[in-house]
Amino acid sequence: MRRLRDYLGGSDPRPIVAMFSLNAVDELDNATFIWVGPAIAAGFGVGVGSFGIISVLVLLVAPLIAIPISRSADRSARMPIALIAACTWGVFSLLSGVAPYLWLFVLARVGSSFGRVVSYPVQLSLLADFYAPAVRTKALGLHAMANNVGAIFGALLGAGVAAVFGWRAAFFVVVLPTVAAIMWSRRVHEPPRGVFEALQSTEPASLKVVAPRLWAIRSLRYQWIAGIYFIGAVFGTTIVLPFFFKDEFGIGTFGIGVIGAVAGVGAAAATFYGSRLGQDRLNISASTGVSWIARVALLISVLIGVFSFAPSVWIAIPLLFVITGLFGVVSPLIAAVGTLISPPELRASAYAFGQLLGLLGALFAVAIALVADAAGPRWGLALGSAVFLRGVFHIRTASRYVDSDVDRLLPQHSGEGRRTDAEGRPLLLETRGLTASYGPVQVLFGVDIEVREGEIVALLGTNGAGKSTVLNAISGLLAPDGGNVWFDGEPITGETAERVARRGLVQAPGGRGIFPGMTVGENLRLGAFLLRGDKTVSAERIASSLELFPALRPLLGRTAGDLSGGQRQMLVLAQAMLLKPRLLLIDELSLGLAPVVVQELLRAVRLLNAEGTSIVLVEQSVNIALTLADRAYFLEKGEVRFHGPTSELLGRDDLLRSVFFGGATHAVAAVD
Amino acid sequence: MDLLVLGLVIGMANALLAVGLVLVFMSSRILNFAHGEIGAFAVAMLLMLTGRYHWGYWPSLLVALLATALLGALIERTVIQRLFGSPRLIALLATVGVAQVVAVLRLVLPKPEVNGEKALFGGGVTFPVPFTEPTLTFGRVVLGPPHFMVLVIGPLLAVGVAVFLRSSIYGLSIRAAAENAPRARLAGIPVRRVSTLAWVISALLAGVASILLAPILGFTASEAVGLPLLMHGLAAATIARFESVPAAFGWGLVIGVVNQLALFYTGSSGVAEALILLGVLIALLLRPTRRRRTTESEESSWAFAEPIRPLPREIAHHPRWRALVWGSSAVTGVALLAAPAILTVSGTFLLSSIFAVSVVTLAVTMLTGWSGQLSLGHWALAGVGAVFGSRLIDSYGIPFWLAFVLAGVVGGFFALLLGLPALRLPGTLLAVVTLGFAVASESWLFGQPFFKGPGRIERPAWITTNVYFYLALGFLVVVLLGVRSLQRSRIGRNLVAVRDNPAQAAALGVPVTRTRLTGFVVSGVLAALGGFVWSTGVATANPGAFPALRSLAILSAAIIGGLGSVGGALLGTAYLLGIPFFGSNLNRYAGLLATGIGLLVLLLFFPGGLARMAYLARDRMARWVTGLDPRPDVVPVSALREQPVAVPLPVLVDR
Repeated sequence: MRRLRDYLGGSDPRPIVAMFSLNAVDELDNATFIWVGPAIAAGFGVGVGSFGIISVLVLLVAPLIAIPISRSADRSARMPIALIAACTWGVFSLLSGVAPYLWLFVLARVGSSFGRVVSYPVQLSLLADFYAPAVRTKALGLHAMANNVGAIFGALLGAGVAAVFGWRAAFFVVVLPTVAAIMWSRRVHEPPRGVFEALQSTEPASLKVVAPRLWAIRSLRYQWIAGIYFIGAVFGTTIVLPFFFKDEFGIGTFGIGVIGAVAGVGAAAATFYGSRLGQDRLNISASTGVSWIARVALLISVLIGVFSFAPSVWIAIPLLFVITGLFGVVSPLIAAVGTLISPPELRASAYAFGQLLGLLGALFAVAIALVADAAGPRWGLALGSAVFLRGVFHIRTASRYVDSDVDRLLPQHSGEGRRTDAEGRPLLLETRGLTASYGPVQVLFGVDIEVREGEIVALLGTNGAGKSTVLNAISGLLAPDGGNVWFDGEPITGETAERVARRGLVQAPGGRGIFPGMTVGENLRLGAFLLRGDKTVSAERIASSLELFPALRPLLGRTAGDLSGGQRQMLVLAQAMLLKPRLLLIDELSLGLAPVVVQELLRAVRLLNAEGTSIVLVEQSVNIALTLADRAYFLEKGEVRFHGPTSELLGRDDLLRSVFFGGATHAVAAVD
Repeated sequence: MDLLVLGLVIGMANALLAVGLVLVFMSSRILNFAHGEIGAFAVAMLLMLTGRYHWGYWPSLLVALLATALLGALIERTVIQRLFGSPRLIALLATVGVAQVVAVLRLVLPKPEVNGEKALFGGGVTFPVPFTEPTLTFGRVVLGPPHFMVLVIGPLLAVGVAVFLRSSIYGLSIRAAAENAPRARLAGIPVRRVSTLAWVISALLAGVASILLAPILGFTASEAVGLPLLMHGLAAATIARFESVPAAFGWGLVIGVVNQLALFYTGSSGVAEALILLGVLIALLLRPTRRRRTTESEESSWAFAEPIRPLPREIAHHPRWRALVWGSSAVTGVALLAAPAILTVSGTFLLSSIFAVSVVTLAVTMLTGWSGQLSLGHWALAGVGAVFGSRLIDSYGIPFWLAFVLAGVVGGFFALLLGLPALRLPGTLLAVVTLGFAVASESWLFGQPFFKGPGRIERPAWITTNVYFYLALGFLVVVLLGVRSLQRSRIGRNLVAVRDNPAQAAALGVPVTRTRLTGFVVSGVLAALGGFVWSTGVATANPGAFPALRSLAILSAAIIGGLGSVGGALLGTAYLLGIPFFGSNLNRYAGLLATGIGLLVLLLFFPGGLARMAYLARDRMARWVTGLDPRPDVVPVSALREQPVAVPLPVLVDR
């Protein structure tokens, strides 16, 4: 006690002892359930498949009941809740031991798991109020260690008792430490709520609102998806493991418990020594850390694969030790990365959402158990390895995006989108600090652009200045590395192109914007894909766009790849108009076209603008841009060099001359 | 007439397979070599549910098809989508890996029981059918319920797919996503989901076609049902140029009829396979090249991994590094020469086989890595060399060395025959032709008396295990040296030039087709020689040792080793032969699974293959030994930014 007090910097050690023991005893019960599994399954005369389904059921049902109850913990006293929850699982643990029928057993397990699900977050919340931030990490670390301790002793104790007295006895025995823990914990009194800080009492925003925003953060998304696979694989293999040792090597109940304890020691050792390894890499850069996670995870997957075909138990056990150890290294790191890439105000929701998604992994666990049932535990484990490998792919993908996602959280690039500009006019599109690259070559270096409602903005610059890249980064074809994009006040950074299109932000990608192998008619129908729910509307719009471009009408049955450049450009504009977008991004409108054709296209663009569509126009030809646009941005080497009304640009001979060798200024003068 | 009807029935199922292939090709520009295996998987599911668990026909059918659709979605999501941005040939290779994995998946499904005992795949099990009536005797054939099912369902499905692709907005989207994916996304088309949809439909078609075909053809214990199935569909789809569903359907029918006629008049299905191959070859020869305003960019480059660099001069000439290189080479050389004395007989034998088969893998890696052509039939070419050469020795008493030379010549001749029509055209057609060759030689060519002779390959008495070892080792060394010098010769340069940019190469006066053909023939010669050496060492081989599936495994080995890398061919072959050697006591499918999964993992994760990893290890070693960094200086992006951008072109405002 004394040394514990010193370790905690003089704070009262009793609460942590209480929480530690409560956390440890519930793991006892759980470990018993897992590692005595084969004996239980044999007792009820079911196979690993049904046992797996039971485990998954327990995993899924308990949180659903628990969520509303744990909310109430925010208002009422928490120590009683923790203790009552502990009593609950003690009682249900006992009931698991006496359950005469399978369905009663399942019910008992759900009850026990329910107690745990309620208790755990309450324990965490209590610890936060018992210990000041300075020592809190230490306290939380100790508390987490209880899981390992419980897992190790649970496997040994449960299996030992089960081996001698039968599996039912095991559940009776683990109740004893639970009772002891509850009795001891009664000495600890409820702490005042939020003594150490002003608690962020704000409810986490509704998932429905927040989920799409979080989903657009790619590294987070891939990490979650990876989490589904990881949780599925780990949970599934954990179910199958005892059966594997029993069926393949003929290990008895107690032996399996010992193996379980070995696995637990592996995990415990890893939390001690391993997390630092990863944390060091994470400190270099987020992507270094995540690729390291991916590599370790790949190793885990391979090892599970090797493990599933281990020819002897003496190869299997060391492998298991290494696998659990490596997983113990990786899983806290994944959580750490998650907090790194979610926006601070959404962190709580991100955590909750990730947990919810992780439950999907239960499906894989069921599949693994069923395969183990049908084809033998080896194949179940092999499937587990494959599922895990699938997760590795996603972590790899996440590593590609994580640096840019971290960068996007930089204060100058984040924040809320605005609906009006500095002068109070309605704002439609805004980018802040937009950077983008193609592979190792960075193209955009922090581009800030604003487009107001109803405006035509020209984006000018030389070849390779990054004009088209800006459009692609806005429309979602190219995911930006950093910076943010808001459309109508909503963040759309990193959203997929098809989602952006559904928002009414449409890009017309110049001469490349056709489907060359299909007819013009089919091209138009595809342009109206988003209107597919309403046939009459799409037919009407197609008809009206043909009115605007009567030249297309005789070509309807022609293959689009055979059209001339001007006809293609008309087709592209016609497609874009079908959607009546709020903002249209036009790429290279006039490139390589005859002046007559250009005039016709300009007419269409003006018409569209008059109907209320704002337009961003990428142009090589300065005079076309100037005749059409209200304002212009001038890009050079991926940066905005000038922006303002087009009339001001005319005055900037230096810019125009430096880039266009003076040719343009004369031409512009001639146009005027 | 009666045969015609039967042929139509079978052709209908072929046609459905072909339609599925065309659909996938339309959606992702990939020849799906896993198509046949997906179909076979559906059949195996159905057999398992009805034969093992005694479900009724309809629920079994429903579940089997659902599982097949799921499989299609899974393949698309896990493999194909990850290769969206890769060259199409890489994606095609990935489907080869998928085919192997799906084959294992099918083979480990619980087998149906006959009289309480597990049966082999369908063997001895009457294939379940939903009805037993009506049957109709028509000339020489009896048409049963399975036939009527095909006649009804086949056209319905085909018309359904054709209408779907032409008129439904989702069908249009499938084509649009393939033609111009970025544009499709801008139009709000969820490209990924659409692609998954195409794969699901295609998998369903494969499943339905295979299930319909199964009771008619009566799948036997053969484990290689996937490839012939695939070949029938692929042939029809190829002749239809992967462009039109109706054409693919029509050609599927034609192939079915030809198949039946050949089967009836010759009594062997092998002839039919050979005829199909012939048909594809002729169709390719007659195929006109169409020109369009937009050239479809189907040419693809293989530069999907960083090239392997030689060590910089200062390291290569560093005394410590030199000592290490010479020392380790000397040790390796001595170890190799002494290997038969050290290793057990089976170990020596394995090593010799690795040497011999490496030559075949090398032939593939040369062909694919250097000239960008894909061969799925190299093991069959090896078989040609082996069977023909051993027959020369066996039946005509021709001396070993002369037989060796002649085997190479014949291999080259076969390669010429295959390459001549296929190499005139760009793309992946050589893959189809060579696969056809592999299937046809397995089922027909190697069975012909004039070719196989007495039907066994005996090793000459003077070749003991040790002689075999030194023979294979010496042969490999000679080939390695030869290939090295070829790589540095004009032919080697031309091959790479034609692979990377055929148009520009032609403009510079490199004869494109001739260069490709040369590459293919050289590769064929090597394969035949390798096969010959291998067969003379294997005491009890027969023509059955050259199955078509093995050709896929050889290709996988080349990729696992690292395409285009000479050392990689050795590593890949060692992987291919070594894993079953060590793993076969665990499971008899370990080998197939290892190559399939190995192939996928490498394509998705380490496109450079084992060779690339070996070179990375070399670099580390060099740094450790010499203290110099062998990696080239990496210029940070920020430094690049300060460099002057290319002088902008003047823009002509008034044209």
